[in-house]
Amino acid sequence: MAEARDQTTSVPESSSSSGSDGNGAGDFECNICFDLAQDPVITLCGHLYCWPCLYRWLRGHSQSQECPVCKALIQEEKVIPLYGRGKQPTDPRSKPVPGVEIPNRPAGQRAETVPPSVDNNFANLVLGLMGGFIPIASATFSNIGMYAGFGGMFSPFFSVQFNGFPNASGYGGSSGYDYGYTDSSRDSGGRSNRDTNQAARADDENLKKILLVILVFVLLTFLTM
Amino acid sequence: MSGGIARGRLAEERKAWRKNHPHGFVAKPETLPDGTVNLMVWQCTIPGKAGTDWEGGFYPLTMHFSEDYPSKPPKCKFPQGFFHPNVYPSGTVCLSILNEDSGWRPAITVKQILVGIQDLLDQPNPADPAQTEGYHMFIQDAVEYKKRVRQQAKQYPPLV
Repeated sequence: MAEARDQTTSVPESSSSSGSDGNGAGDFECNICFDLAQDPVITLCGHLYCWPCLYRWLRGHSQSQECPVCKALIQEEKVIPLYGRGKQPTDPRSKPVPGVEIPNRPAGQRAETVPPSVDNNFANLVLGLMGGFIPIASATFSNIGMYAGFGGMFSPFFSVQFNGFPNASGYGGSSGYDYGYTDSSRDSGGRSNRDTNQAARADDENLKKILLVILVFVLLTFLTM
Repeated sequence: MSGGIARGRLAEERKAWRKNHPHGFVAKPETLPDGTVNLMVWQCTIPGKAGTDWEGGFYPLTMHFSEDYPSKPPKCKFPQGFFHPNVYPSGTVCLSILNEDSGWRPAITVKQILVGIQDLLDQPNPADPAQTEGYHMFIQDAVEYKKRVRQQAKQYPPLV
């Protein structure tokens, strides 16, 4: 008697689970009660639940906070509430459930709104200041003629740059030598990596020095004006 | 008590099953003498898989759901004395996905349970025996085991 139905239902299992609801409402059903999700929350692994359903599961199985679908670890505070249009987003209070005290859903983690083009303005301001200052500074500088001072201030910068070079060449040399040779050479490769780190730190130091020099330079020009 | 989730979920399971279920399987909530439906106990039938020694048998299974379902799995029982290494003498099926402390997850459906038990029939797990007779025969005497399984299949002919 069930023959006719059986023929239509003997399709493999996988197709039945995905297409169990032709209208796609299944996409919004809780994975625990299989009903349309109430106070919906979504886990980081992407599985949808009613908050009360998920809360009860997590509390009832505190030793293993696993996703009821995929067994991924679930952290309660990392569960994301879904605010549809139907409810007040400010009051996601769960309906009272007899017997179990279900707290509110965890709040959404809301990033700040993008400040309207403040950053761009700021960048423009800085650039404008730079652009304004540098010609003025160089102009006054050449007029007043503190060449000795100039040379004195930039000599540390040059020497630092010079120090940087042997480092860089040493790194290039050692890396070219390393690849494909013995294990001991791999050790020296590690060392050369450290060298690059040192070089990078040296670069940072250089930048700081340069900025400091420019600052002093600008201040001096103002003082001498 | 878990606030009546169990019944709601079982109603959904029933709907899904009526819409679509694997060939040869039966699963329906029991009907009490007064005509009301008890969603908490389901009478099911699992067909032996074609091409195995279990083929031809339609094995009756009762699922007992608790109020904690689906946080806790249903208890699945074959008739008492059912011959299978992983079925207790009481008929209770021993299967990881039916164990609250190991494989059970609330997202597992009635359909998945029944198909899982069908798989278990022909692929017993000797690491987790539940009855001595079935286990020892499975381990020691493959020929006798086969014979016994085929004999049991005849014991459970199709209902129609």
